[in-house]
Amino acid sequence: MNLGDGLFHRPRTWAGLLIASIGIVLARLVSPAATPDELVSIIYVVGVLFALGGLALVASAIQVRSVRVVACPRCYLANSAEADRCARCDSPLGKEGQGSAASA
Amino acid sequence: MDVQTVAIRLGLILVGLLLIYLSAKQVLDPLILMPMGLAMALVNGAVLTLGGKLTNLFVDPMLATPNDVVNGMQIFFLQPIYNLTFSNSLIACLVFMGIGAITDLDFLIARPLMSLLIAVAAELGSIVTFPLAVAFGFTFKEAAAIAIVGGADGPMVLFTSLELARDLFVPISVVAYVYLSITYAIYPYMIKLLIPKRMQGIAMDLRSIPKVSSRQKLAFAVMAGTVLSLLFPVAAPLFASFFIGVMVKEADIQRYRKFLDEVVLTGSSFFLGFVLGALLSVSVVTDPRILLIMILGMVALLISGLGGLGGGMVAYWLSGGKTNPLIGIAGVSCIPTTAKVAQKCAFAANKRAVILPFAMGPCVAGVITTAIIAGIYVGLLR
Repeated sequence: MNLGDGLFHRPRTWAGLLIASIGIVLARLVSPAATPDELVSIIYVVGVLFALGGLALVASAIQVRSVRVVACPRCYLANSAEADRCARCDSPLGKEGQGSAASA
Repeated sequence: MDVQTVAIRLGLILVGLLLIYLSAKQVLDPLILMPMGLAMALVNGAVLTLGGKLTNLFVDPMLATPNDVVNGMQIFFLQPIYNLTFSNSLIACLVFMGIGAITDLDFLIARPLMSLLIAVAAELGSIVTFPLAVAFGFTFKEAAAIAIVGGADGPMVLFTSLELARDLFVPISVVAYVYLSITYAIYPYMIKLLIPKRMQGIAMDLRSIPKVSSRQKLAFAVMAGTVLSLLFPVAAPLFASFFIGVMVKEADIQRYRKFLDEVVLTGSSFFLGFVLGALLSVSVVTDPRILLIMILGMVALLISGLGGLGGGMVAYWLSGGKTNPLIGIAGVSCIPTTAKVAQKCAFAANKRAVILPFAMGPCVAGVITTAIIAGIYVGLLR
């Protein structure tokens, strides 16, 4: 069974989960509301940053592919590059409808 | 018969009718404000000449004992909705489930650091307004509930105010929802004032759009929901609600997706507006703190907008000028309104600038960062 399209076969995913787990342990071990001193607050913030950093690492392990699109000039929906009309509002997708790669 | 009370109720009736008119003209968001305006007009009309500032024939928010609540549910027709969905924050969670079911994680996952950078910058209002509110005499809990208005996330405002400042829940929520619906009108002026037109019109590369497979998004949603709930247990109901909506979408369970989008989100938005309007009585309006709440709420949203645009400028510089800084305003997580504001302003500057898909990354990240800030406030102060 291919869970997550191979996401769990990538080392970065497990590294991210490990870092996130360390962050959770740090943050949950201390309770800023119970003993709000400076060291406890620092450990809590570090734990939160570790956990969020771990999640970002997991996100970076996700495989992203690029698809060619043409944006509708009326509703801004990203349509398939082969489409002639917008899938949502049926507006024509001529040259005027294409998002340009050039800067303004 | 208290003349002042009658006059205030007449004023509330007129404000209610004004909300209906502006919603019908699409100046304000009709989803919440049209039922709110109708409830305001009808409730205050029904009790116009009745004595007592707390009198309300639709719902009584002051019922506390189980006996009174059960009796009230048999008398006031909105009482079951108030006690069974507002008091326990269920309605905020239901709205969040619906939002999760219509949210696309592709851009957030494809560009997590840029999205989070902008989203964190757009939380500036939620952070700065807290000490400001304390300076104006609010308690820490009340200040946190007001500051979350800067996150521009209705369910989060509801959740935080119900957890931390139940007495101020009605004025904070009404102010938040009215302001959220007018950000569409205010933020474009901020953008025109602060961002050069050349930068407003930067057309981002649309020849290729990142696409993530549903299975990967599903796996990520499960991991993110688990990590965030472990990290911020008090906000776990909100994370659970949001990510269950995402899961339903990515697992392609069409019946549940349609249910969450068309029934749950629509129904809870409708009753949210209706009950808030019914609760807006003389006692709320004559609370001396309401003017301060209105000012602080606006300050919070403006500062968040500034922070978001600042984050967008940083993204612009880091990308070597390829990123349109207007996507920063989308970090103020009024999803998808602020992303549409960014697109509208970019389009006005350059007809070929389509940035909405890119703006959705910070918009979704903004929902998560607002939930994190709410979790921190509730966790520290409850």
